[in-house]
Amino acid sequence: MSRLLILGNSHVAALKSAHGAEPGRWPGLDIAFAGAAGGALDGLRRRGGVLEATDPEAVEQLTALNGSARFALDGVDAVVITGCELSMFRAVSVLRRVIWPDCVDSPGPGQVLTSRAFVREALVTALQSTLAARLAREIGGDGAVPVIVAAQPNPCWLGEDAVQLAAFLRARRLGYATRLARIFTEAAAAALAPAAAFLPQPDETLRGPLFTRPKYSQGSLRLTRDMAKPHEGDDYLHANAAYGALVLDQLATLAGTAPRR
Amino acid sequence: MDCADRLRKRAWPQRGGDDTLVPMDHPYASLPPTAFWSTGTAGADPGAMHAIHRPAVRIGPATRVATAGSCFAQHIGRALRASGVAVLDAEPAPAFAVPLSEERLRAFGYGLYSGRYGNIYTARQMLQLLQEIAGGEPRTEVWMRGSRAHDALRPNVEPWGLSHAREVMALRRAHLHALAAMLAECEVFVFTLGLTEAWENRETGLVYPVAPGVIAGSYDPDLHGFRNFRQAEVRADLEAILALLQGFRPGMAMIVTVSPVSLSATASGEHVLTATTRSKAVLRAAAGGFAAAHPGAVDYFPSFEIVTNPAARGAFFAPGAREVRPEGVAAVMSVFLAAQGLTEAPPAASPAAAPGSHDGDEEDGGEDRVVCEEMLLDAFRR
Repeated sequence: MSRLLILGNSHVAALKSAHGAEPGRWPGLDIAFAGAAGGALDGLRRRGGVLEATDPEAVEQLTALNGSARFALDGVDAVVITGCELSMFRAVSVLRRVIWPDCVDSPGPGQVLTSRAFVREALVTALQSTLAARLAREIGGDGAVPVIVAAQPNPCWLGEDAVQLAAFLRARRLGYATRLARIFTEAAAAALAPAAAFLPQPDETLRGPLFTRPKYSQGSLRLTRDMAKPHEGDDYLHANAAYGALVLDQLATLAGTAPRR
Repeated sequence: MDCADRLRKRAWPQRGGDDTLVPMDHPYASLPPTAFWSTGTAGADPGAMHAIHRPAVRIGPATRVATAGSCFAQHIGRALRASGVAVLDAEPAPAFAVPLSEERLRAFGYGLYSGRYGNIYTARQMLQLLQEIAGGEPRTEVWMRGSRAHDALRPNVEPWGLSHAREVMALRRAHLHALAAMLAECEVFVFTLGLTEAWENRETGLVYPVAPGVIAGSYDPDLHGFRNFRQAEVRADLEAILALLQGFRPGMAMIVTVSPVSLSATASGEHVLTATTRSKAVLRAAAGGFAAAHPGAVDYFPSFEIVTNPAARGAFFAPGAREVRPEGVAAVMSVFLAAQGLTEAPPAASPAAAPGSHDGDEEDGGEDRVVCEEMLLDAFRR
């Protein structure tokens, strides 16, 4: 039996709801969840074998959602961080400024043609500033506790004319979506090392390199105490329990315990 | 006291044959104190040699300036920017929400000069670049280091190298395009001459900034030859540089200076000290002659003299006697900026008043650190 502590912001809801829906699917995993909005998780500090909130607001929020603001790390085999800003959106944000020659013939407005190596370095720097990376350093910086960061899901596919995902669609249209996904994966791993390992989004949840299939997004739940409130129907950022189940499958495989499907 | 000093001091009064005092006249009698070593140099503060330079090419806060040259030139661009001068940058660092550190940006060649061309050590290298910009098509070679590709004409601006030769050429094409636009705007081009020694491709004549094999590429004695440019060659290259620059923008002026940084290594067969002296003498003579031939269009600025001033007793040099300490850079730039009226002359950065113990911090960090691939040669010392 592997004991996991799964931390996350709103994206932890996908994993928590999956576990709640199929508690027997992962017999080799003993999972505790701790979720809160980003600001509260940022206040978590590791003190010896305990991860605890340090400011009253974080204590209040964590306690309200999880029943406690202190999480024991003794006996935990790995801490899993999910969501927490480590997302493809960061890559797209960097690529608004820079692009490398394999992607385009000529850069777009406000975009500079530079080397892939420079783009990668800029992306690593951006990802190192994410909440996920900060938490990973706080928890696993000294190597005492293994930390895994599961990618925040890519946005849900909304169609060719989704203005809110214009940059993603541009990458798809110009044919560099795969290159973008690859540099994000590389940079995420580099940004987390050596404090944590990066766990990419499950392949079967992807529609192309950049989007989540709608069936893994529709019906996603909000992170609440009772996990009973769905996101608005037009939410395209969060994944659902089916997605969460596949991430838990990945974790079970990493732990060497096959899930029951 | 030297002969000139004696002459000056004896100019007035002299005792006549009838024991009366009579004035004597000679060419040194009415020269200013700067004309005499005792007052101009030995008696002057080497950290505040403000009388050494009267600019023939003026730079104001709105003047569009471009900089290029050897490592030392990085200090010039930085000081000009700090004083509010409009230093052009054809390839500015992208502004990210989470910015890269200045150090990392410099490692990628951003913010060093007015474009990502890296250090340009020789006049021939500068000339080649301008010819390439004018032609619009890359004339570089691709050097490999393992599986990574490097632009042979700026191998150090990509610390990790590039993915493949196509990326080298695509980025160089964009580089040339950006530089052409920048030069069309430039009013004053500041160029720091660093070396006369270089390595070239014997077949194409392409001169490299660093020997093949040091950063990337591989040295082939049949293909790669050593060049040690003579004064006439440097001068001719400078003339061609000016003509090309004024082709990009008519009326563009130049300020040339000579880096005081010694050679890291020489391939000339000479001792590195005599090779350095030869190199700097050639550059100084070429620069001086070039400036004199183009009054009002080309100016010589004495960086070399300010740092190597014997009155400073070597105090402007960092441990190792090659790199210039921040006080030396400050001495140079305070003269430059004050002469241009860009800033009040700062308090003298006298080496005598500088901290007496140098722990070598200047060599490995701090704001004044420069990116200098020539230093890599020392790493290959056997």
